[in-house]
Amino acid sequence: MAIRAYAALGVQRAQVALTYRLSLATGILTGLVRILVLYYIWRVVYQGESVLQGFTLQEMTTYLFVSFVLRNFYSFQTETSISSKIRDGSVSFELIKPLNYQMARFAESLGSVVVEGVLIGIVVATVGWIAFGMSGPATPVAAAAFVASLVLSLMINFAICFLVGLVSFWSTSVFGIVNSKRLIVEFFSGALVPLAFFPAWLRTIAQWLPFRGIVSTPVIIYLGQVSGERMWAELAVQAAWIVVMWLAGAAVWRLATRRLEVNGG
Amino acid sequence: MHHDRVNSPLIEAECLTKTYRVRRSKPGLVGALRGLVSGADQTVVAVEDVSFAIGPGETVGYIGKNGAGKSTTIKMLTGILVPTSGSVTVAGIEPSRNRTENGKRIGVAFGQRTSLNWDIPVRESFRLLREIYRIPVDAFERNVQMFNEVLGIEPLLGTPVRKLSLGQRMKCDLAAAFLHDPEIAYLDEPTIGLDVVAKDAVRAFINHVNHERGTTVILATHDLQDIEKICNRAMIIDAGHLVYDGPLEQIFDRHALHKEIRFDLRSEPSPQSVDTITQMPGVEPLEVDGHLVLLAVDPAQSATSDVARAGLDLLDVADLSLSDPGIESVVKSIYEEKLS
Ligand SMILES: Nc1ncnc2c1ncn2[C@@H]1O[C@H](COP(=O)(O)OP(=O)(O)O)[C@@H](O)[C@H]1O
Ligand SMILES: [Mg+2]
Repeated sequence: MAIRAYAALGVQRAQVALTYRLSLATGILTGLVRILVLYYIWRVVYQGESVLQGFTLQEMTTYLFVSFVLRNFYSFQTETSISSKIRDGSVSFELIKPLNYQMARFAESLGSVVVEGVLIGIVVATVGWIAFGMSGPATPVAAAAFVASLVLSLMINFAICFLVGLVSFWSTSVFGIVNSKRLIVEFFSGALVPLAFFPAWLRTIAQWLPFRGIVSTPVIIYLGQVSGERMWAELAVQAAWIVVMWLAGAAVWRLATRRLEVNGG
Repeated sequence: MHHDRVNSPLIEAECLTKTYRVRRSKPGLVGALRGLVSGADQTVVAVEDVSFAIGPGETVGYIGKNGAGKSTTIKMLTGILVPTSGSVTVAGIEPSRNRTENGKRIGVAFGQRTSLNWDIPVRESFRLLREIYRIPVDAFERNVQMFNEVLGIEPLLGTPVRKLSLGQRMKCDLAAAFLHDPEIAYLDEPTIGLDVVAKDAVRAFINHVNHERGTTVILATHDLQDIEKICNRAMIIDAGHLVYDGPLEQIFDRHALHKEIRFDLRSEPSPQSVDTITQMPGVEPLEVDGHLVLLAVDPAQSATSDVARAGLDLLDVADLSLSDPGIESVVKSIYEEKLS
């Protein structure tokens, strides 16, 4: 089965990620600092208010922690790994493997984040639960749908990173593009502020972009802010974006390799 | 079997041409975006109108100076690069259009870079290849065992690539390229930068798999000794053009039997003393330039020791060196024969 080859690729990436254990520890530390800062800002914002834009302070706290756990699955270098290999020419070895390039990168991307994401997630969620009164998923159905939505969000994030990474086929200075993309994702995914706090016009824009499927959708499912039919619809929107962007990625990849000029010996 | 030329070629290149666009993209986001839309500033023709056919089991040396177009050709044959014009077919398919299909039957090693994961033990990279190429466990174990016998890689398998020397790394990379019993091996400068002992091991290994498995080998190199030890056919590329394609013996008969003697001088030689030396039988000046005299000597006509002694007697020699001819002098004499 071809799936074994992709699984093995992912496992190897996970292995490499584990050899850099220091980044795990620093990831947890900086994460907690970030959450603390945001938590105290929100406490000030909530002074004298019990509900803002449909969020109680406890829901906001939960949003902070869950979105942080989600963010951890993304902060990693799919784009930079793709583009640095294009730039230094080692993409050659990926082109001669009997594997689908996009699937192989997806497997690696999963492999490199899952172990770290889960470990950091467990630690941070435990801290949130014990010390900050973060709540659990709204209902058992919400819990199951959250897991599904989390998987879909990983795929959306990958599909975007893949497209951005391929820009290096056309340009040698991807750095700026990657950084702008990070800011855009951070903002429009709801990782910085829940979309409910956006002004109406900005919320409409966010609604029609794929990025909210990365953070906002799984978290509002977790919180039970959408349920029943609307919840399924949200999952369907995530799935639709994956299909569209995956196909776009495949098309761009085909185009890109037509004009590939590998550097070096 | 490996000296046969089978009727239907395994690899066929027709009028293969590759042109690179050279762009100077500006730094920053604006530069990056502009790079997306702007065209090329300049083009470089790396390979032009190259045609050949290679049969199964052949061992072909693809030789040329640095920048001649060897790597570019190899990248088109392996499907990494799409030719600008012309075509490649390997076992009936076009590599760059069927990368996955083509990938199953080829093994590739580049001397200048590693295909193995930098951070994890070599053995783990091998295991990954076992999954990727779906190598049966027993065939895999047999290969690792056999490669170890020729290359001595067993002690290296537990070490991550970043801790290996260049020679050790190259041995592991070669083994990796052959683990899945590829029909065709493309090796691009596999001995570059290696010491003599490591070079010999690499050459012995390539010979071994060719004899044992009938693997077709395309070996790109600028080192004539590589092909002398391994190949039965040579293709010489220069400035993107194929200038020779034929049996190896012919090149070595005609050119490689000559030795090169190089005298570096403290002071300019008198014309008479240079003449005296170059009039010895079988001695030809390759370069006489101020403080340098470079001679080609046919050892059948004059002993190299006699020529060296004559040089030491007649010239003000600071340094003396003796070598087999490089690819440069072979290419040069090919041109001279063609032109005359
Ligand atoms: N990615 C590239 N972009 C532009 N020029 C290139 C690129 N790769 C190779 N070249 C040029 O093409 C020519 C052939 O290069 P190459 O095939 O690497 O030669 P060789 O392997 O024989 O040393 C050289 O002039 C080299 O500078
Ligand atoms: Mg080269």
